[in-house]
Amino acid sequence: MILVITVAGYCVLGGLIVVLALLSRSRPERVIPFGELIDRTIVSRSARVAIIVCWWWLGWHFLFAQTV
Amino acid sequence: MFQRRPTLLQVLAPWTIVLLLAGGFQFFRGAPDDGIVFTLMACLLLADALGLLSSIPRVRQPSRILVYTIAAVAGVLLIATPRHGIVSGIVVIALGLAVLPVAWSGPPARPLPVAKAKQSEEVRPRPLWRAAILWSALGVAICLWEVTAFFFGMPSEAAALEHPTISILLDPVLNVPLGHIVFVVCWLLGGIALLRLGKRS
Repeated sequence: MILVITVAGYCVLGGLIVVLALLSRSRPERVIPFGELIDRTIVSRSARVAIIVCWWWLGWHFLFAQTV
Repeated sequence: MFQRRPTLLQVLAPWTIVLLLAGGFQFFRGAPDDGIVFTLMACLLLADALGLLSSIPRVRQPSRILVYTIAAVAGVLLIATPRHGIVSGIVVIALGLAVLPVAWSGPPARPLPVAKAKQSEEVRPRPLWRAAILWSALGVAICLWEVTAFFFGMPSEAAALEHPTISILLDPVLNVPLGHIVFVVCWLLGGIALLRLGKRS
């Protein structure tokens, strides 16, 4: 039961990502698209480097390091 | 005229705090290598914001052809070799070392004076703020759910299976060749997208 709740939580959050991405694409006058948000965010060095480090870590974690 | 150097608190950007928190969590979960990477990058950003790294030369953004060629070679190597293998490690580290100077280059983050910051807040459109708040809230929610699962799963292996983290859920998917290929392709395309977005900015 707890397993189902935990996985359901991830599914709900994943669903919200899809909904928000679709919403921002269909109504950019209310919420700007994610790509544009990232575009404006990574103007600063700290944001750019932090986002790139997080991206790199995903590869490191899932492709090389011991994931589990 | 003598100029006062900014204090540590003045230059502690939100993204630097994110890296510090991530680093601390990696140390806590017993992944010191990961912790060192996040903490080191946070320290570099802090040193930069304090003006200690201003002599580092900027790197030119690489051409699109070069980026795609490197990504294709890396992709083939990552897909053709087993996960957690030495080749995968070398490729991922090499990509990190190649991407970091590119990400580092560009306009450095400088805190705006208060008056200027207020003015810029007024100019910012509402859709931008809505997007920033909604995506941030979603990101925080995912992190909280993941961290909660991690803490509940700490006592034993059985508890970890009852409260799986994203890593535990994705691991069997990535062990299947198709899952491995999809992840590698998505990861590399994500990196390219981030580099291109940076260029447009």
